[in-house]
Amino acid sequence: MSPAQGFLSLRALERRFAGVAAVAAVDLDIHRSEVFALLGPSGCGKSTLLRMLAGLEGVDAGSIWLDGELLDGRPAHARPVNMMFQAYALFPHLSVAENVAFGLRQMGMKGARARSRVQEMLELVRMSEHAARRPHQLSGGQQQRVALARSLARAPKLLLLDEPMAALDRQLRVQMQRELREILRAIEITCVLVTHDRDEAMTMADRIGLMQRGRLVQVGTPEEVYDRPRTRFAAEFLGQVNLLQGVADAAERICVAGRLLPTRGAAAGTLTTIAVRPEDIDLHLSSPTHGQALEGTVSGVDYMGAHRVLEVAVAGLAPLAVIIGGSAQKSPPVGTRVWLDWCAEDAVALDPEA
Amino acid sequence: MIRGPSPALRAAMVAVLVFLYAPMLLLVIYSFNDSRLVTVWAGFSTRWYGELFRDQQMMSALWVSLRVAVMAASAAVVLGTLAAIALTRLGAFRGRSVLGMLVTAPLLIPEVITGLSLLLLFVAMGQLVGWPAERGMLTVWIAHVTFATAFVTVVVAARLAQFDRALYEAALDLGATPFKAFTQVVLPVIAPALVAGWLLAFTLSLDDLVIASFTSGPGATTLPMVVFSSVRLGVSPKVNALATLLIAFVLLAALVSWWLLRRRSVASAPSSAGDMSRR
Repeated sequence: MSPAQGFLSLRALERRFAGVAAVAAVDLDIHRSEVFALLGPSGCGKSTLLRMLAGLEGVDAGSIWLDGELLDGRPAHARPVNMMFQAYALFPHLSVAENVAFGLRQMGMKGARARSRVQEMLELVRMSEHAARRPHQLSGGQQQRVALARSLARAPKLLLLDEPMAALDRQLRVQMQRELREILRAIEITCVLVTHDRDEAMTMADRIGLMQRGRLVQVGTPEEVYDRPRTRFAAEFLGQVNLLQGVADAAERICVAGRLLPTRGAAAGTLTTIAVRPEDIDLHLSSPTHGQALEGTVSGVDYMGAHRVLEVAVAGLAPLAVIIGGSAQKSPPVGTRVWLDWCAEDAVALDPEA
Repeated sequence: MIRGPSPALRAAMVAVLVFLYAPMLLLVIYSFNDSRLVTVWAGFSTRWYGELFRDQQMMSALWVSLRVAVMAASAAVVLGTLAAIALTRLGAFRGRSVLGMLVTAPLLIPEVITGLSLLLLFVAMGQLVGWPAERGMLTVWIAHVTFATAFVTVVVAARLAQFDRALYEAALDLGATPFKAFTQVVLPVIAPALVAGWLLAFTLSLDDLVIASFTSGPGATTLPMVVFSSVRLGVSPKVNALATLLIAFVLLAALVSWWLLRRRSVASAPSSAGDMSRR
C-alpha cells in the first residue's frame, strides 16, 4: 500500500461487529487544516469510524495514515490525536484547570510551562475566570469549551469531535457552532467531526463525507453534496427534495408526466430518477412560452416566515414541493393553476442504485 | 402542595422506629446506671466506662478486634474492587454470571456454615502443608476477608455500573496508559464507594461473633467473643458501656459512608440532569 496522499488518509478501512460491517471499504483523504464532517443517520458507522481514528476502536482491515505516519496498532494513548467526547467526559474530581492539564501531565509537562499552556488554552475558549471550578458547576456551553481546551492542550495533529453540539439546546447550538468554527480556523487544526445534523455539517465543515450503512457514499463541499447529490439517499438526507422518474433522451431531457424537462447527467434511453430542490423550481402563473412545463394545481401553502412552501399537485405524479420567497401577495392561493419548470443545472440525475 | 404522610403511615413509621431502636436506647440508658444490677436504676454515673477502660481482658480483645477489622477491611477492599472490575468492566466473558454468583453467594450463606467450613479448611491445611500451624489472629483475618469481600464487591460494583466509560476513554485519549487512566481517573471517581465498602467491611468484622468463634484460637479473642462469654456469666454494666461505645462508633461509620456516597451522587447529579433536560 502506498503511503498517504492526504494529511490524514484512510485506506480500505473496515470494522465488523459479530460479522456485520459497521464500517466498510472507507477510503478518504483529508487535507491539513481541513474541517471534515462525517454526516449520516444514527447507526451508519460514523461514530465507529471516529473511534477507530482515536484508537478506541479496533481496526479489522485497512490502514490509517496521519502526517506520513502509519497509526495502525498504536494504542489510543500513543496517538497524536485528541477527541472531544459527546457528553464531554470531563473528569468530575478535577477542576477546570486540572482537566486541561491532565493531558499535559501525561506528557511529563509540569510546573510553569504546563500552567502557561493551560492558561493559554483557557483564554482561547474564554474560560480563564472559571479555572478553579469543578465541571458540575459549569453550564453545558462552558463544559463544551473546557472539553475543547482539554483536547487541544496537547496540540494534537488531528482533533476529533463526536457530535459536538448534541448535549446543547438549540439556541446555544448555533452560537457554539460559530464559536467552535472560528477557533478551529484560527488555530488551523485538522479536524474530523461526526454529526447527524446536516445544518451542523454544512455550517462547520469545509467538506462533508456522507455515510450510509458503514460506507462513504459521497464526499464533497457542502455545496457539492447539496446541489449535486449522487444518490437518492444523499439527496434526501441533505434537505427537502422532489424526486421524479422518467426516461431520458439524447438531448439531456427527461420525460416526466408526458412533458420533456431539462436534466443533466442522465444516460439516454434509461429510466432515470432526477432530484430537484424545492427552491430550484420556477413557478409560472401562465404556460411558459419557451420549452415545456409541468401543469398542476396549488394544493397547499405552508407559511415559514422567510419563505413559503407550496404543495403542487400534478396529474400522474406525487405532489411536488416548491419554495418561493417574497411577500404574501405573490403567493398563489390554493386551487391556482400553475406551471413548473427548472434549469438543467438544477435537475440532477441520480445513480440508479439505492 | 406537598402533603405529609397520613396519620396511619406516621404511626406505622413510629412503631417501626421504636421496634428497631428501643432496645438500643435502653442499653445506652443503662450504661449510665450507677447500680451494679442491670435492671435497677440508681442514678446517673459514668463509672462503668471507667471500669471498662481498666478491664485488661476487654481492652486487649478490643485491640485484637480493631486490628483484625482494619486489616480485613483493607484486604477486602482490594479483592472486592478487583472482583467488581472483573464483573462490570471486562465486558462479556465466559462464566461472567457464574463468577458474579460465586462472588456474592457468601452474602446468603449462613455464618455458621461459613465459619465451620473455614475451620475445616484451616485444620486440613494445617495437617497437609503445616500452614496455618495454629488458629489465631491470622485465621480470623483470612475468614473475615472472605466474607467481607463479598460485601465490598456488591458496593463497588454498584458504583462501577454507573461509571461513565467515556471518562476512562478520555483519559486514554489524553495520553494516559491504561494503568494511569485507572489510578488517576477511575479510582478517584469511585473512591467514595471504596471508602463506604471499607467502612462496611470494618463494621462487619468488628461485629462478627460466629465466624470468629470457629476460626479463632487461644490468644486471639475478639471483642464480641469476650462480650458473649461475659454475658453468659451475668450481664455486667461494663458490657452496656462497651456496647454504647460500639453503637456510637458504628453509627458514625455508617453516617460517614452514607454521606460520602450521597455527596458524590449529588455532585454528579446537576450535570447529568442538565444534560437530560437539554436533550
